[in-house]
Amino acid sequence: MDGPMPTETKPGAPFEIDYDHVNVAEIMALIQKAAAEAPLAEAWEETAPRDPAQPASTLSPQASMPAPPAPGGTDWSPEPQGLKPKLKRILRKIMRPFFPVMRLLAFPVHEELRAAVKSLHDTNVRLDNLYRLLHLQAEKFERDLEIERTRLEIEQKRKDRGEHRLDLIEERLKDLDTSMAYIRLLHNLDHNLVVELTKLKIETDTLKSKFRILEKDQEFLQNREKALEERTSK
Amino acid sequence: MTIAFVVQRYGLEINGGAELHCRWVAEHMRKYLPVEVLTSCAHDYITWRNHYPEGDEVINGITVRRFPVTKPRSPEKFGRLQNAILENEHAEKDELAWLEEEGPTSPKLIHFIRKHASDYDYFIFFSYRYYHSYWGIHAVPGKSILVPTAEHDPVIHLKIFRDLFRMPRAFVYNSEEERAMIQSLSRNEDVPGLVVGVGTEVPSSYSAERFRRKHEVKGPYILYIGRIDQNKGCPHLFDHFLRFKKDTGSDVKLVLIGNTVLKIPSHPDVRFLGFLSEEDKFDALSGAELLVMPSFYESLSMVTLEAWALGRPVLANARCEVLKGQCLRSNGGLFYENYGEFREALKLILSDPRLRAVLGENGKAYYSANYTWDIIEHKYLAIMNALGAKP
Repeated sequence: MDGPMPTETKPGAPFEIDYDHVNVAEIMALIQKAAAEAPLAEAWEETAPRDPAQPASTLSPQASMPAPPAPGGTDWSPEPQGLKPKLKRILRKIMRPFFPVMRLLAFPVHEELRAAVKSLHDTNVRLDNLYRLLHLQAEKFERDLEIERTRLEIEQKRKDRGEHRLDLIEERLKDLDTSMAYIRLLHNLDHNLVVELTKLKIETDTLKSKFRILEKDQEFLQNREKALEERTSK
Repeated sequence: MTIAFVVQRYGLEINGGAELHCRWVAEHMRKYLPVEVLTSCAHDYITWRNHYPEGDEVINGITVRRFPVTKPRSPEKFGRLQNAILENEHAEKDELAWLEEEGPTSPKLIHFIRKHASDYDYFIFFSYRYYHSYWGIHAVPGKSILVPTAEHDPVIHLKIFRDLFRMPRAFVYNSEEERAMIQSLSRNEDVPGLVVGVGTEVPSSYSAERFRRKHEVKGPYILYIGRIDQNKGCPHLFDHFLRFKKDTGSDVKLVLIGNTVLKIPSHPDVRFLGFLSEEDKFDALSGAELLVMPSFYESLSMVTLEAWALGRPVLANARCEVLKGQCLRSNGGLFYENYGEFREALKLILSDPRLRAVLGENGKAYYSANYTWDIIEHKYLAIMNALGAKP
């Protein structure tokens, strides 16, 4: 029996695949759907390395590399069990109100504050830089957008001109149809005229023949008349 | 009637994509036309330091004329300059200063091209982004054919290149995506161009068993071939693969072939084998479940074509439009944009031998229809015939 083979599903395979006409675009649509629906769907986005031209020695190879999970790592347990950890927890609970005082004594607060302010300052500088870049990028996008808009307008005008030309061509086609009908009628008329002319020609020839016969008859009668007249006069 | 191939580096031991591409094409075109190669004395693409002696030598029957690099590249200075022009508003002279720093700066090469322009019918320039192509095309625009080997990297947006793309007599593109990118950037639709790419030499015999025995690889494995580098997307590949192993409990291994500039995760199922011979490479490919190509930037992945030539499917990074386009056109591979898609695609290919076989067959058919040397050679000849230089 001819016709497309039925789509097959392999046991264990999550998708229905037509193996005789494998279409990667269709398979990818199924994969993307499955990836989106999977409970572990990742929000993590891949980012391309910014500078492919930069020589390898100047790259920071580990910069964007997410830390791979430790192979063979043990399962994480929320609370350690046993007497010692329990005592530690109780002691930590008792000491908790004194933690701020201990930190105050142990670490100079101004150092911490300075570190925090420095960190904030660094963040600000980075944000300023990012803002500047964003601004530049936005300007570039705007310029590109403007160029695209102009290009689109030109395309639109070109399209309009094309449509107008199409209308003209349609009108000319209609005229052409009418002309063709006229030509067909003229052709028929020509044909009929030829037939009529042929008939007239035949008629003329017939009449000429009849005329010649009549002339001969007349000549005969004239000769007879003369003979009779001669005989009568004798 | 002579054709000159102009490329940044040239030599039997140079394995860079565009350089190898140029050498293979030159060696194949030698059958039809007298061919010469004009190049620099550099061997190292980071500094372009002079390594080979200046002058002529013959490599595989082709005369190679080498010209010295007058100013080696300082990677730090170049990196700073590049960041400055990519992140700030700048003038054209800044871009030219960047180009000068990028190198390989060889004024003698450009002078030779200008002086001997009449000795050659066409100059075929490889790699748009280097000094030799930019100034070489400016020297002989009417005789230049550019093989841009362009990737989707930020420098392609520089103004000097938009103008450059309108100058050559013709283009030889590596892929439809490359042509679309260059045309959309420079509006150079009126410059004739053909998508050609490059062929590959597949050995007559290869053996997966030999590879497994030699390198003690057991069980199913997926294969990465190429420089192990951040730009090639390898950190993401490691992360995705290890998460895949953890999520699915699969016994598949990741085998890595190539030189590395990255720290490779220490995991029993990640096997790094270093740089291998061509024979080992094809042996490894023939036994792999699939070839994985995590690269973000490719103008044409030769190793993907090699995988397809051997009937192996490919799992590619969809962020690379060329790889994605090739997978869609060939129906020879799947692609992924994030970990979720990587997991689902890899799970599907590994679990379904029939799909693997069909994808591999489709890839092989695509390779045979577009990338055998016979087809590539005739496309080059067709371009030159169309331009009027009948061999």
